[in-house]
Amino acid sequence: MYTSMRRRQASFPIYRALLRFYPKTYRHEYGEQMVQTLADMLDDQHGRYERAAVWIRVGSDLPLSIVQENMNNIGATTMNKLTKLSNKQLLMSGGILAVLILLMAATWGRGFIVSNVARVFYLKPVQQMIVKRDGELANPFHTFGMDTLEKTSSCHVTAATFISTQVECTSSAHGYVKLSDNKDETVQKARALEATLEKQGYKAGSNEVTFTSLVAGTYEGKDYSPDAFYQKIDGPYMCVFDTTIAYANPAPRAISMDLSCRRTLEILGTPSNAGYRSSQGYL
Amino acid sequence: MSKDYNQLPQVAFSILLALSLKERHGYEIIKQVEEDSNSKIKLGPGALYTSIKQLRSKGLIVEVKRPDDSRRRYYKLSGAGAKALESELEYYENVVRLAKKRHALSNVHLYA
Repeated sequence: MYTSMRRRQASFPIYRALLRFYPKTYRHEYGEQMVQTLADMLDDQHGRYERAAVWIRVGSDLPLSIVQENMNNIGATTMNKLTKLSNKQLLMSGGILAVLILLMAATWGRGFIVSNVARVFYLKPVQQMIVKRDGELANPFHTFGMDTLEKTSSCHVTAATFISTQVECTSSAHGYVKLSDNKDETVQKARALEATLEKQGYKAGSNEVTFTSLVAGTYEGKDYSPDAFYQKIDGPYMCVFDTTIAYANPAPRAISMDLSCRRTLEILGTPSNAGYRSSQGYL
Repeated sequence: MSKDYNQLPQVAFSILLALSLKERHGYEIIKQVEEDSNSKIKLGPGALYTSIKQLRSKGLIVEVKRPDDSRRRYYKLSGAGAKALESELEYYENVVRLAKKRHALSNVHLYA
C-alpha cells in the first residue's frame, strides 16, 4: 500500500491545487489527511467506474467545504482581531463607528426627519394662514363663483447641501371659473378685490398686470396674459395671490385663481424668510 | 435527560456513532458512516474533515497517534463526546418511544 500511496500522492496535483482554496491554517492541519483519505478511497476501489465515482463524490464535496471553512476563517479572524484590541482601542473604534453611522444617518435621513418635523410644527399653521388670508380678502374664490376648490398641503425638501437642509411647507387653494357675460359687474368685482389686496398690504407684481386689467382683458378677446400676482410677507409666512387667464377666445372666458402660503424650515442654512425680504420674493 | 441533547448536526452525530466502537482514521470513518446510514450519508474528505475539526474544537473527539501507521491520524471519542452521543441517543429513544405511543408511525401511512 505504501508504494501505491506514493504513486497516488504524486498523481494528485489537481486535488492539491484545489486544497489551496482552504484557509492556510485548515490546510496545514488537515490537508495531508485529506489527500491520504482520498488515496485510501481510491485504493479501495478496483474498477474504473468505481474510481470515477470516488472522484465525483470528492469533486462535489470540496466546494461547499471550502466555502464553509473560509466563512469560519473570516469570522474567527475578525473575532481574533477584536479580542486583541485594548479596551481603549475598542472604545475608540466604537466611537468612530458610531460617528460614521450618525453621519450617514444625518446625510441620508435628514431630509426625511426635517420634513417630518416641519410637517408636525409648520403645516397646520400654514393651513390656518390660508384660511386667514382668504378671510381678509373677503373670500375671493367665492366672490367669483369658485365654490369647488382644489386644496393641497405638503412639506418637502427644497434645498440641501452637505450640512444644511431647507424644507418648505406649502398650503394652497386653487379654483377655476367661467366669468359671467356681464363685463361691468365682473370688472367691478375685480376692482374691489384689487383694492382689498392693496388695503391688506399685498404688493403687486412688477409686470404691470393687475387683477382688474387681466379680468377686463378677457372681455377684449385676450386669451393670454402674464399672471396678475400679489404677495404679502407676514413674519415667517409668505402668501401669494395669483390669477391667470384660463380661456378667453372664443367665449366662454374663464380665469384660474390661486392663493398659497408657505413657510420654510432651515437647518444650518440661511433663513429663507430673510431671502424673501431681501429679494422681495417673486417681485 | 441532558439539557443540550440533539444539538449535533447529522454528520457529526454519525461520526460520533462511527467512533463509538473503536478509534478510526478518515477513510474508516467514511466507510462506517456510510454503512450505519444504509449508504444515505456518503462523505467526502472535505465534509469529513470540516466535521472532524468542529468535533475536535468542541472537545468531543481527540486525535490519536498510532506508531504502526504514522501516515494517518486516528480519532476516538473523548469523555465529553461519549456523553454527547449518549445524550443524543437518549433523545432519539424518547422520540421513537413517543412516536410509538401516539401511533404516529401508523398514522404516517394515512398521509403517504
